[in-house]
Amino acid sequence: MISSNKQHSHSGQETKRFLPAGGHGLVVNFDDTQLRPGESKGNTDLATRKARALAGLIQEAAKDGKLSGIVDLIPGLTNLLVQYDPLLITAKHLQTTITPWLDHLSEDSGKSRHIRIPCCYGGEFGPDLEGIADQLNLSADEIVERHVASSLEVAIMGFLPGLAYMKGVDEALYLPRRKTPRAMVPALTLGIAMDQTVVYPMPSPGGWNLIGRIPIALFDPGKDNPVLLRPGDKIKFYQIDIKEYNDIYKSYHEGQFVVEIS
Amino acid sequence: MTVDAITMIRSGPYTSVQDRGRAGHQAVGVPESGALDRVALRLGNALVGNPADKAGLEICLGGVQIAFQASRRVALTGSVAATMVITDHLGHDITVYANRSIRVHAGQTIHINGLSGTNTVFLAISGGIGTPPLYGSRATSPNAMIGGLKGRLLKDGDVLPLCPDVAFPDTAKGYADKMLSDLTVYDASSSLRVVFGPQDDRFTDQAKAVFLSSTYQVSPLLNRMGMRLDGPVLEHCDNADIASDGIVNGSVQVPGDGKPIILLADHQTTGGYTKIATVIQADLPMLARRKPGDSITFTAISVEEAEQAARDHEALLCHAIETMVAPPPMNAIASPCPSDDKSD
Repeated sequence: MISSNKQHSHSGQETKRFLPAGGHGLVVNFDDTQLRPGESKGNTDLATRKARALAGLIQEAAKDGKLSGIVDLIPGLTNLLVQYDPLLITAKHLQTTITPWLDHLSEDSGKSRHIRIPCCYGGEFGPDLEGIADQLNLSADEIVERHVASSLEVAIMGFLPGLAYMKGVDEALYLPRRKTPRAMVPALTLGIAMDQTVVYPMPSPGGWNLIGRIPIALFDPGKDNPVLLRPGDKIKFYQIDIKEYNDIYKSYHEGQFVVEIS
Repeated sequence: MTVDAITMIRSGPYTSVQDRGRAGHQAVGVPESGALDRVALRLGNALVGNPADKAGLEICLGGVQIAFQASRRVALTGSVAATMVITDHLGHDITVYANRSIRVHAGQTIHINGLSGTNTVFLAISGGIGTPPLYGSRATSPNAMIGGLKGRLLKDGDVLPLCPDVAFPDTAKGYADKMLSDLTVYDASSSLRVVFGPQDDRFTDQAKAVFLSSTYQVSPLLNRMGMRLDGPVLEHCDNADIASDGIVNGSVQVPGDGKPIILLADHQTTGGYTKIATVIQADLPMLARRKPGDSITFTAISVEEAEQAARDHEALLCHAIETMVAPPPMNAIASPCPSDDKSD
C-alpha cells in the first residue's frame, strides 16, 4: 500500500511518486530504482508499462464520468504526465483518486497490437548502413538481419506527430546518435541509436543512424485516425527490395495496401 | 458560390492561424499548439460574438495587411496599447484601438504594423477562419507541419477561407459592436509565478536560489516552441538527463548548458532534459506578451496556490467578458454599400 508521496528504491534512496508540473500537470513516477537511461533495462520497461496501464485506467474513469478535468495523458519512460484543468480538478484530488489504483496495475502487454512494417534497407534510403557496419564490425546484411529479427515495442512517442521510440533493438546494433545531427532527414527514413528505432514521420532535422525507409505513412492528416502507431504497440520490420518498396508505396497511396495489425 | 475569404496582402514575419489547440493527442506526439495568449483568444472571440473555439490570427511582430473579401466583425486583442488601421474603398484610414470590435466591409483592408507593448496580438474575425481542422482544431504547429494553412506560417498572398458569419443576439438593437470596460485582465505582475518541479531535486540549492533571485532576459531565439532566457546559468547536481517525460506549457527546461528555456504551445510532447519549475497556467498569457530583451523574474508558489490562481484568473476573464459594453460609434469611415451589411 502506498500511503505517502514516497517510495523506497532497492538502493534505499527515496524517490517521489508524484511530481508537480505547475498547477496544471502531475507526473506519476514509477522510476523507483533511480534509473538513468540505459541502466537495468528490464525495470525501465516494467515501469513504462505500469505508467501506460495507469493511463488506461484514468482514461476509462474519465470516460465513465468518474474523473473530470483530465486534459491529456502523456506516457513517458517510467512515468505518466497527467495534464489537468485546475478549474475542474486539483492535484490533491487526482492523487487521492489514483493512489489506490497504483497497487493493482497490470502490464498492459496483453492488449498490445502487433504490427508488421516493410522497410527497404540501405542504398539511398539508408545512407549510414555501410558506415555503421564498419563501426559495429558486422556486414550490412548482418545488421539488416538483426534489425528485422528484433522484437520492438513502442515505449513512448514525441518529437513529431506519429514519431515512436521503439525499444528492443538487438544489442549487437547499439550505437550512440551521430555527433552532428543532419539538418534534414527525408520523411519515413528509419534510424537506430542505443536500444531504439525511430522512423521520422515527416522531413525533420535528426541525429539517428539512418539505415532504411518505409513506404507507408506514420502520420496522415487525411485519415480519420492520422497516427498509425501508439505506445505499447509491438513492432516487427521486414525487409523489402526497391521494387517491392515502389509497389507498396504506390498501392498504399491508392488505398490498396493494408498494414498488418493483429 | 464563392466562400467568404480574407487575403494576406502582407503576412508579417510570424503570423499563423490559431485557436484553443488540440490537447488530447500528445501521447502520439501531436503537440497541443493553439494561441500563445489564451486571454487574447477568449476576449477576441467574445468581442466579435464568436464561440470560444473559433480560429483567428496570431500575429507576432506585426507587419500585417489583410484584404477582406467579405463583411466581418473583427477585434484586436492581446494588449491595451495595440492599434490597427482600417482603410476603406475610398482610401480613408481609421485607427481602431484594441479590445473593441468593429465591422470591416468587403473591399476594405486592415493594417497592423508595429506592436506596442507586446510581442503578440490576436485578430479575431466573426465566424472564424475556416481552414481544414485536424483533431477538431485549426491551430498551426509549424514545426509539426500541421493545422492552419498547409501546416505553416502564413505567406504574402495567402487566401484564408472564413466560416459562416455569426451575429450577436442583440443586433436588432443596432449595437453589435462591443468593447471591454474592464481591462484588469491584462494586469500582470512583473514576476512570473512558478511551481518548483518536476525535477527541481536535480538542481543544487544554490541553483534554485539563483533561479528565484535573478533577472533573466528574453533571448532573440524566441518562437512558438519555446522562449530561451539569457542570464545566470543553473547548476545541476549531476547532469541534465532524465528518463523522458511529458511536457506541459510553461515547463522551464534546463539542458546541460544550464540556460533555462520556457516551453510554449508548440513544444515537443516529451523530452529528456531536467525541468526545474513550471510557469503556472494563469501566467502563461503573459509569456506571449514578452519581447526579446524584456526582463523576466520568477516567484515560487505552491501547487494549491497555482490552482487557486487559475480559478481567480478565470473569474477575472469571465467578468471582463460579462461586462463588455457597446462602444461609441466610429464615424470617420465611409459607409459601404448597404447590401454588404445585411447581418446588422
